[in-house]
Amino acid sequence: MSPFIHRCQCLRGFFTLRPCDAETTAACTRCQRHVCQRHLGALGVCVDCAARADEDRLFTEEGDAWFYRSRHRYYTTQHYRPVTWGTIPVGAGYDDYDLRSFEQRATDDDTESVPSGALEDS
Amino acid sequence: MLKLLSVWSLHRALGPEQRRVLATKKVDGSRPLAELVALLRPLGRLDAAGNVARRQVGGGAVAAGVAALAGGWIGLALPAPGPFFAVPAGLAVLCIGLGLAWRSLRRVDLSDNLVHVALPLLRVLEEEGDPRTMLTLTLDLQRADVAEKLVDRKSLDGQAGRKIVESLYRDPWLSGRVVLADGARLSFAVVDEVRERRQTRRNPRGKTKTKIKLRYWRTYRAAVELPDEHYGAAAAKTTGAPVKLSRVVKADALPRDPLPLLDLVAEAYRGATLKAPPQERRS
Repeated sequence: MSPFIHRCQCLRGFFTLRPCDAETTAACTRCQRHVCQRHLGALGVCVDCAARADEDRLFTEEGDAWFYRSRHRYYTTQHYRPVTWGTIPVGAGYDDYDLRSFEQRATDDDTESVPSGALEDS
Repeated sequence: MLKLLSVWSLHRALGPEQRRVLATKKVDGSRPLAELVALLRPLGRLDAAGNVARRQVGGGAVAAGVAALAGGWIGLALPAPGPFFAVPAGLAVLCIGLGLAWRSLRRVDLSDNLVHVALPLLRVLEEEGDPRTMLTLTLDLQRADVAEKLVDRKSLDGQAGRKIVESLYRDPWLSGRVVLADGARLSFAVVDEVRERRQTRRNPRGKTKTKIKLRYWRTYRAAVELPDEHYGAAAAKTTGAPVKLSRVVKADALPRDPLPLLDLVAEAYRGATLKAPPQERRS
């Protein structure tokens, strides 16, 4: 794959999050992430940034913008932490809920004890 | 009036299949999610515009009718010259025209469940799955109180000469099943049960008055089966056999969003631990 082709860094999904990974057309002017046409909101910001800036809108709107606003609001109000899968670069624009699965796995790794009698590197 | 024109132009833009759905008020079958959203979104737009237009046109018809009656009464009481009666006559014609427009708007009215519940839910599923994912959907957009949904009607004895007729309707208006992007199998259903209590009484002056009270029970059901290969032991209760969850909302007015249904699916995912991520697909 060409190093000059960037993949969209926005997340798809509601109950589970995964990278969109489509070819990008622009970068978000607020969070600097590379975004595809689908995830590019008005005024050159990505849909997630637009959603965070405008969360008080209602669920009932049509179009795509409401989805991203509602997703973030749902996670906040219902305390839902979605499952996340796929390769998600750590960086600007990702919250702790975006990285939940990585944290969970890291915690699991830490708690793994060395079996008794096993040889350890000196 | 502008809304009426907007409804007219939205109606003209509908394709043959959308017109068929508008006539039957039912969607049934299996097709890609993106296609279903594309089919139903213009209908949702039409319905939302139609609701506003119907209120405007209905209000206009009543106002024109009242003004026509008042004008006619004033003209007769004065008495006014002949040309004066052109005004109440014109208002009466306007009232009739708006009344006919209201009737035709009512004919193309779909249940608000489309705009407030079904379309947001489909959009979530579209995002959660793949646009090419097939969704098997049964959607009934008729009113809940149509004759075919009536399950029971009985007359109750009311006090002081009141006559009470209680009708029960059962409206299984939404059901579907879909495989999500992570391989989870989701099936869902929403059933509304409506109790209409119509109370009629005659007052001492001989006037008959009727009061109608509606009570709703909405049952949401979701069954989620998470794939064993992607979700770990912590999610044992949700992998293998599907988890079946249901919630009943009892209210005077039905909820106007798909949140209870999303909550049920979220509940199945809450205890899940990702074991091996599903393979990424390039879109």
